[in-house]
Amino acid sequence: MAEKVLSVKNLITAFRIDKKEYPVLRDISFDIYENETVCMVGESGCGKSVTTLSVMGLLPENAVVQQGEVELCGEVISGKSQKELNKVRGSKMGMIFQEPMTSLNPLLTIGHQLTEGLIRHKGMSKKEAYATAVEYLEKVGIANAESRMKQYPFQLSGGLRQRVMIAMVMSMQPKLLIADEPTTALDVTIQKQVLILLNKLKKTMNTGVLFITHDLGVVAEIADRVIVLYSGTKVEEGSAKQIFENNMHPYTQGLLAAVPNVDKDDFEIKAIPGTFPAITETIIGCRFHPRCPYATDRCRSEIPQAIEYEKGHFVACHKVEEENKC
Amino acid sequence: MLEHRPALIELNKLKKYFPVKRGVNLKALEDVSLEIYEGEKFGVVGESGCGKSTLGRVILQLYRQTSGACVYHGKNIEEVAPKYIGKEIDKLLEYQQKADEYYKKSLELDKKVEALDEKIEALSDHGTKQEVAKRRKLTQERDKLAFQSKEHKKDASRQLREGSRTVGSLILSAKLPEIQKLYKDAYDATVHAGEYVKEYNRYHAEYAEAVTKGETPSAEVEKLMKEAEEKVKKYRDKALTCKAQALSMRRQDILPITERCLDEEYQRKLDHNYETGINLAKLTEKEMRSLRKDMQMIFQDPAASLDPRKTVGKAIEEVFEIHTDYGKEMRRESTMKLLEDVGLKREQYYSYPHQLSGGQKQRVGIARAIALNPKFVVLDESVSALDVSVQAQILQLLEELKEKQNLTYFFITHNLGVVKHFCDRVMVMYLGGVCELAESKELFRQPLHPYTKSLLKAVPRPTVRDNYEEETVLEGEVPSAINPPKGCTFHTRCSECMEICKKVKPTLQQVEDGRFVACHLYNKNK
Amino acid sequence: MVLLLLGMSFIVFASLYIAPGDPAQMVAGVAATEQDIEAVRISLGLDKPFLVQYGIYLKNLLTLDLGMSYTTRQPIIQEIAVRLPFTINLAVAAILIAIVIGIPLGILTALKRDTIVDNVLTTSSLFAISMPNFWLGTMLILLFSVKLGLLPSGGMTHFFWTATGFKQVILPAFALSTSTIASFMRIGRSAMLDVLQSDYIRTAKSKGLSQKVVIFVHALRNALIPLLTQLGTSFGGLLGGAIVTEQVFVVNGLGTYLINAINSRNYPVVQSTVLVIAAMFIIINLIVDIVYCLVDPRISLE
Repeated sequence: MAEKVLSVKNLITAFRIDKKEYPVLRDISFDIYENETVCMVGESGCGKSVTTLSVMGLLPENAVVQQGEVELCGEVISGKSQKELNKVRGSKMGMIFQEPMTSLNPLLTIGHQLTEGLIRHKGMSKKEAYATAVEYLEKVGIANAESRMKQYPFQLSGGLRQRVMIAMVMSMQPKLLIADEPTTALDVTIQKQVLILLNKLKKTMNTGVLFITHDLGVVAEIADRVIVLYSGTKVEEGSAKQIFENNMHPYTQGLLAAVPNVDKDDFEIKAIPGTFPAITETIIGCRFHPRCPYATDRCRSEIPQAIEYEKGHFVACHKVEEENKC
Repeated sequence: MLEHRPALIELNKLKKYFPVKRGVNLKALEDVSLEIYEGEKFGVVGESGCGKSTLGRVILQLYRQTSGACVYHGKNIEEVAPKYIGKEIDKLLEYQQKADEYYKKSLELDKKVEALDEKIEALSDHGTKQEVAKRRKLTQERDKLAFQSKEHKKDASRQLREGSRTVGSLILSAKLPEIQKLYKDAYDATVHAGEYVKEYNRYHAEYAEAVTKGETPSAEVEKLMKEAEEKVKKYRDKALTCKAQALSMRRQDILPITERCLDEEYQRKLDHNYETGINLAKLTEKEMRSLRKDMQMIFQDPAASLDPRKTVGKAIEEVFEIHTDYGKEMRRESTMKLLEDVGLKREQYYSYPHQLSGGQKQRVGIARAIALNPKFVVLDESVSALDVSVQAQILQLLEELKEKQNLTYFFITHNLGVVKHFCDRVMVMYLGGVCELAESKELFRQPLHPYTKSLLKAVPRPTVRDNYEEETVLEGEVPSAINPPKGCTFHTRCSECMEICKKVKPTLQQVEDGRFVACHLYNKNK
Repeated sequence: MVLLLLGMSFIVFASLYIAPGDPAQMVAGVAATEQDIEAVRISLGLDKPFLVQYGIYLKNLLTLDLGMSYTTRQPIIQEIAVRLPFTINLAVAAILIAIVIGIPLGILTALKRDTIVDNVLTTSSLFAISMPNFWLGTMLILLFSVKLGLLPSGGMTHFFWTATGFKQVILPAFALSTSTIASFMRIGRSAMLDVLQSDYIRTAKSKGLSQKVVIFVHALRNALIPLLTQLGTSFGGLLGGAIVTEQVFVVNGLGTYLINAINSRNYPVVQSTVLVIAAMFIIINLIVDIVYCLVDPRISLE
């Protein structure tokens, strides 16, 4: 049995706006195991980035974790001080961000940025850290690693910078890698290179990966398991096969129908009607019901609970629940 | 055979270089030639730095081209009367004269060549050393003269071709001074007509404002409006008569300026050169500004193009304020109607941008772009920043608007899925050049250019596959446009690279009906 | 740079040329006859056309010959050489004070944003900016010299790194630097806030680096860049301010020299002093540009 790397239980995170607190994450729970990529998908504002920041303890000042527990490799890290978190951040969990252009410090050499974490967390000497950094630069497919160490971020293209970020994070051999839209800003051919690289590293290093994206195409390419978020709630969770081939939640279905698929010939792009609710909006019942073609009175009054539709496949929808009772 | 469709935009060897340092240029566009048909959704795809955005901006003349022509057929020169046409008309006689001079020079040279030929003939090639040397010298001389003569002939043709842009085969006529006069009159009449169109628009706006307010428009205004309308008609008619009169002189009194001139085929060819469209590259800034009503742009980030302190209504009304004579009521009413057209509510006239979602902001951007009934709209990654569900909504809206207003889209994106399902024809660009141009269905069914193939392979697909890691990826990154690779720009990353690719730049050639590829693999003369 | 100096010298020269009053008469003295004046004019080369005069002036400039002072009949260059060090002494001390106090305060207010510390400091910076430095100087003298008798009320004989010099410079330099301290603090604060919100700081935090490393290694250098620009322009302001401050604290520097020269219509001195101040300003900005390259690798390689 693979070891559980991350466990998030009943997480509720809220934003303070004008002295009121509005929940952005509404009771989210999920686990990530070693050598597993869990993709979290959803549209902007669904809470996927807030999830990662809650786990990392990097939430902005106006956000609060109201409830819930985050467990990293069996150790509860939620509620810890920044100082204590600094011991696990980087060493046990690392994070890659969306914007490769701005995520590296423009005034420090690649070498400096690669080695500082190693020196701090792994107790390496400068020399050892240097050697490890070069090794990892080569691992992520960067040629002339030694000369790259002396360069500054502005001398590298976007694709290369993202590789540097990956090398920086992976060289510390974290148990958990959090990747927040790491390929969104890259061109498709570069994106594919990076996705393949991430997949390879995950396997060889036995890492658990939490991969955030809005692109369902990317999900299909990289995910073992998929979590679909809508307005702060987990509407569906299952293996990649279950989500893409046997999806149950109307939102998942709508999302997939809206993606223009290059492989299909007679394909009409179908939009989900209505707009995404703002976090300040109060919706009674299922958060998706105003846009759902199947909404019933029950959906308008009662929040659906997740049921295990088949093994490992969870759906939070009254319609699915009712249809499976009969 | 595909039916012949009227082109709305025609690009000819368009180049755009951005100076980086002295003597160093970033070659953003390199010889782009294409036609965009009226009413089509023309897609452009490529990775960042391929020049797709630059192309969109150059067509709209937001950047001026380094060289090449960008012809707009949505209006003709009779409606716009651009200054450059007037100048060209003035130059007609000069073209004809110069062509004549060049040709005469070339004939003289020909005579000299003939004389030399005879001399060379007379010298035997087995003669003394001196004779051989003399013969070589004479041959050299002869070749030089022959070359000069050929160049002069080319120059003559070039002059005639330039002239034919304005008057077609009439450039060959002996009565050119008379024709020039007629064209000049027609041009002046068009300019006058344009002035009265402006006057008419002003009165019409006044009239419409009254109607919108629910008042009866004053009889005075109505009278002035009618008068202006009649004047426009009068001058337009005059211009037409003048041109018709000039055209009636076709195929008559043709001067034998060059030997080809009497050839009907050549005359037809010159007639074909006759330009009815407007070469945007030659317009003055002012002329371009007034044409911009016809050609609009929708950007990627709608939030960035909206002033946060201005209501949505004000932001749209601004367009009417600048480009029309509409009165206050008329502006407000048109704006509200536009809001409805793009799927917003009339009440949102009073909203501020921050009260709108990303999709709604983009709808405002669209409303602004279509406010003046444009014919051509450049969409630069207009749906790329939106979530999929909203993206689909916006694409549907664009489709509806296109049908309703007969728009032509120039759709720039990096998302191949969107292009496939939204666009009629697709052009693939790489490092400032065109790789492939085809009907969207055909391109995706069977991509020809190796770059198109690898691009398609790299697109993430929403289907689960097991052999993901074995799939091939395009290695490396796009080279710098400051110093692009010699030969085919893609050869450094191409899996099917041949010797020739490293040396010769492939040209865009038609390989099937409506399918164009720039790749040596498909070169028929191989 | 050279062009800038050349342009500067031209403006200075031209403004003197069109200034009212006859220099020849001034040199020759009140009692001089027509002939005397004419002789002086010829000896000074004042009879030659404007451009020729300018050419001679430029040639002299190259050999550091700035001409004679009308009042003392001494070479101006020597007089300036005596006084310039004290002005530089004052300006440098002021800028050092501004750096040492202003920048840390800026960082502090950024880190303690929206707390009492931040509010108090940002508000008091407003006072500091709007306080005229001659008034502040006078107040300081009253408090520290007259009342407490801790520091000398004026004069400057030593440089600031000596004990005497330090005591002499502290009051004028502080009076001179208050507005610069405030502007450094405000710019430092906003620069630091900007940097703290940037993606790379988030990256640094996500690596588990300590607060200290994040701020001093990752954030500080980036926040210094806008401050550097300010440094160059502030120095010009300090030189201007020094002219007044020197008067208040009776420092025999360029400022006092300049004001005396203006009062006595000693044009060559005015001209030379302005030129020297301008040259210093240009040199400082050059130094700032060089420091830029050292701090920001993006600039040095472009």
